[in-house]
Amino acid sequence: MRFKSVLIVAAVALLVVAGAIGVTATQIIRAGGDPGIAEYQKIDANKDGYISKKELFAHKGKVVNEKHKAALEAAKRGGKKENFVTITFNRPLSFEEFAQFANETGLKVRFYEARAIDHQGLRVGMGFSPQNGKLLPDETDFSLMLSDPDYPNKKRKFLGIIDVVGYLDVEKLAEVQNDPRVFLVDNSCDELFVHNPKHKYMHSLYWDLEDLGLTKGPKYGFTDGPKGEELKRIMEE
Amino acid sequence: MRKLSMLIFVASLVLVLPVIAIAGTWGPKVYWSSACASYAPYKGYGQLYEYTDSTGKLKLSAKAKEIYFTQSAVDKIKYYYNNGYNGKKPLYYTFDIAVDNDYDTTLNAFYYYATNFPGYHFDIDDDPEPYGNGYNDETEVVSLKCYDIKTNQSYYFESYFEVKKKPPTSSPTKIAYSSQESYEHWSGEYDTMLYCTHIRLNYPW
Repeated sequence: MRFKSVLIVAAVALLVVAGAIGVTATQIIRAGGDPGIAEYQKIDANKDGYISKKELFAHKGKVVNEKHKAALEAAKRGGKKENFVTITFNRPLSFEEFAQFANETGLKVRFYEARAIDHQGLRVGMGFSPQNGKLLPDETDFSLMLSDPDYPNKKRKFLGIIDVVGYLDVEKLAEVQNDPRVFLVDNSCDELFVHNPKHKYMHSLYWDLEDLGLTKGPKYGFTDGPKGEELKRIMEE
Repeated sequence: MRKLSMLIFVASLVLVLPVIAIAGTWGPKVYWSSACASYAPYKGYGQLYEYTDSTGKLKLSAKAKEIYFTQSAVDKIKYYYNNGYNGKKPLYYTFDIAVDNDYDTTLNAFYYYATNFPGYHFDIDDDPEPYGNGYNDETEVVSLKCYDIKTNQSYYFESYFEVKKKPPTSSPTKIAYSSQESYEHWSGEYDTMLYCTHIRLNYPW
């Protein structure tokens, strides 16, 4: 009887140790992970491939009501003073507006994206990063990105900056979230919430805002994206 | 004063850009005309453009252009998205432009890109895993809305690199253009499930 008890205790102890080793190993492996797409994927709760208006706002609510607060509380307890965020704008910003935004918010910009339209009416994403202390793109690079030698008379039409990735002071999360130019300050990829040592970024929501007709400012008739019944379904879902 | 400088800079971007003549050299167009996998585009071309930016820095633009898919490739991409592969789903179509040698020290990608793939998500990596060698050698665009890829549309992905050390023509840096199907690894990382290489380009050519 006594032997049986010892055996049970030993088995339980072994399971606990094995579990601890497993968790540690997973944590170590996850340290090399890329949560940007994985976190974005979670927004599509019903897994139909489209992010509906309801799912988009459910995500926004969760980020603002839970993750912003958690980050602020962590900072108050001596945790990180800055969060790694992806900010999706409500409309394309001009270079001047974008530079002003970065200056006002104190955001340490790592990477930002712009919207353009090509000769087919398709949406074009353009990525930039600050170079040699200059926030805005080098004019030679930018000119090259807008041109298309295959269609010399149809340059890509530049609309403006649609999102930015960088480090934001946690104390400014609410203020920037309430900025009329901003749809969401998403800190889902901060290491407070996921292992992200390589600073992979949360995917921008701008494409989904466009699909759902939720961007502000002039509307553009893109060739791509859902239309008709498909769009109606996503909106009503 | 600072605001005035900013205004002048922005005005220069808008007004002067159309008349800027970029001093650079085009490499040859290297075409592919058959699909290297069932989900891959059946035609397209790659081309390199070497140029000097306004600060005198030597750069390289690696362009993948005029990328077209057949109906069966579009169907396969949708199939992989909806049904996955080997129990993993969804799979996302991904186009990758990367230096072949993980230990390369000639080129460094710097987060400049342009693409029209549906729901693009740009990623950059410094291989080899896990810590790299200090040079970003891999750039890719993951199409998160890959089910919206169409047969009659021309897609492209253009990636930009700083030239850190121009290699000699006798020993060029090789740049691979590949199609992939990516999935979420159990570790949380997005990884390549399937891939095939369309072409390799030499820099210098």
